[in-house]
Amino acid sequence: MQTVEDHAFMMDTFVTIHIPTRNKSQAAAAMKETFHAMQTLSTQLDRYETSSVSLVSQINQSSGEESVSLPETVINIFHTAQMISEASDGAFDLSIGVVVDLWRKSELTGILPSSSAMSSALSLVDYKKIYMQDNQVFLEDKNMSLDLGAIAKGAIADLAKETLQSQGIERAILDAGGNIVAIGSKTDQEPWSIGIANPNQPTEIMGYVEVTDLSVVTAGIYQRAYEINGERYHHILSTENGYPTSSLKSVTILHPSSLMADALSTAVMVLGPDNGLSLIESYPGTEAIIISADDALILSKGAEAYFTLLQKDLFHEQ
Amino acid sequence: MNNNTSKTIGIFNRSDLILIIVIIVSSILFITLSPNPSHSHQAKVTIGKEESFLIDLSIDQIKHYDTPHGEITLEVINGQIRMQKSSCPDQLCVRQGFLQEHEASIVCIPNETVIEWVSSPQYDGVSR
Repeated sequence: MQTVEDHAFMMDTFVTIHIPTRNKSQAAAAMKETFHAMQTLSTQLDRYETSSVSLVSQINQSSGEESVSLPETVINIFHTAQMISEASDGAFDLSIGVVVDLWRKSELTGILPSSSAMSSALSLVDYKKIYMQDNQVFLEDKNMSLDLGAIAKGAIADLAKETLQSQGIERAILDAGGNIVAIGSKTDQEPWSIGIANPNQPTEIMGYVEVTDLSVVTAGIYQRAYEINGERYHHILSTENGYPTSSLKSVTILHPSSLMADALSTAVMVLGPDNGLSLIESYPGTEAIIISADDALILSKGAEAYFTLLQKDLFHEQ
Repeated sequence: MNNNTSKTIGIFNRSDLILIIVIIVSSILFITLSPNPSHSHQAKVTIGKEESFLIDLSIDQIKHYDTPHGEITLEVINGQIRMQKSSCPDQLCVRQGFLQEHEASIVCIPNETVIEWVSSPQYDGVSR
């Protein structure tokens, strides 16, 4: 068995696809088509891409005025996102764009968002004002702004999986900046083994999961951050107060869909351990590995079947 | 008549041959001495009786650790790992340099520390 591996840069991260195969030319062709499809969707979902190819940009620019037509692949992403918004009572909300913009501006000026500016931004965060009918999306209030940063990698990873499988690829690992998609198993007898980063020392591995045909997605406070006056403010923002969440250090979700795993990992980070676990348990087949602010390891009911903790002295099981 | 004073062997003169030899030797040294990140993406570090963890060798980093008897500093660069500093008296672990492919481990007995290869790339990906 040989391995074909290639990577591309998109969504501000490296995406790597690794295919064990006996047919190198088939794998290389599948990979080329997959990267192309991913790049197209990546641009469509990028709100900072100002050209007309960005559908999210179009929706934001048309807020309060008119609806925008979306292709089926994109409208399905919105349906999933809205489902998680409702299930999490708005803890996950695509319309957080204005709050994100406020933090980006603060990073440039070096001044933290004022409470009045934050209140004003939060008044434009409401997933219930994202209307969808047939293939149309409309934002009710002018200046509302969608930001798909919490789910774009997941959505694109799902598209990659679909494209690879449509090309006859039965086993592969896709790594979209730490969002892992395991296609099939490593061999007929062996699952894929995926390390989980230690949120206190992200270059270390705190444990691992063994998975077949699952996505493994982690949201953590150590990932992207806004640097303001030498202080670090991580990028997962509460939809309640607009500030970085504080009760959890990382949430790893196992789910067949990378999009679902991506959305749920953010939702649980915002909800905290108790409500977060309740949300996870409401989706059969979904598992969570959670590290709390005080380094407690919290597992969903079925996670033990997948997860092995290596750094037993650093994290206490709850 | 050739005015060049250097000796000619076949189509090469002596300068050409020296240059060719230098290139060949440099290439061999580069291949054999270059770090080989494909060996493993992780190393296992054990400190004392309890603490054991993996370090990702794909990210250059310097890490400081307290041990039961002192402190150590590990350096990861270009896929290789070494004991950069150690509070131990003999400094054998530091002098060993980067962990080579044929070596099983770097051991610091005074600080009860072992750095060893993860025998095969243990993980197929890392979720972070």
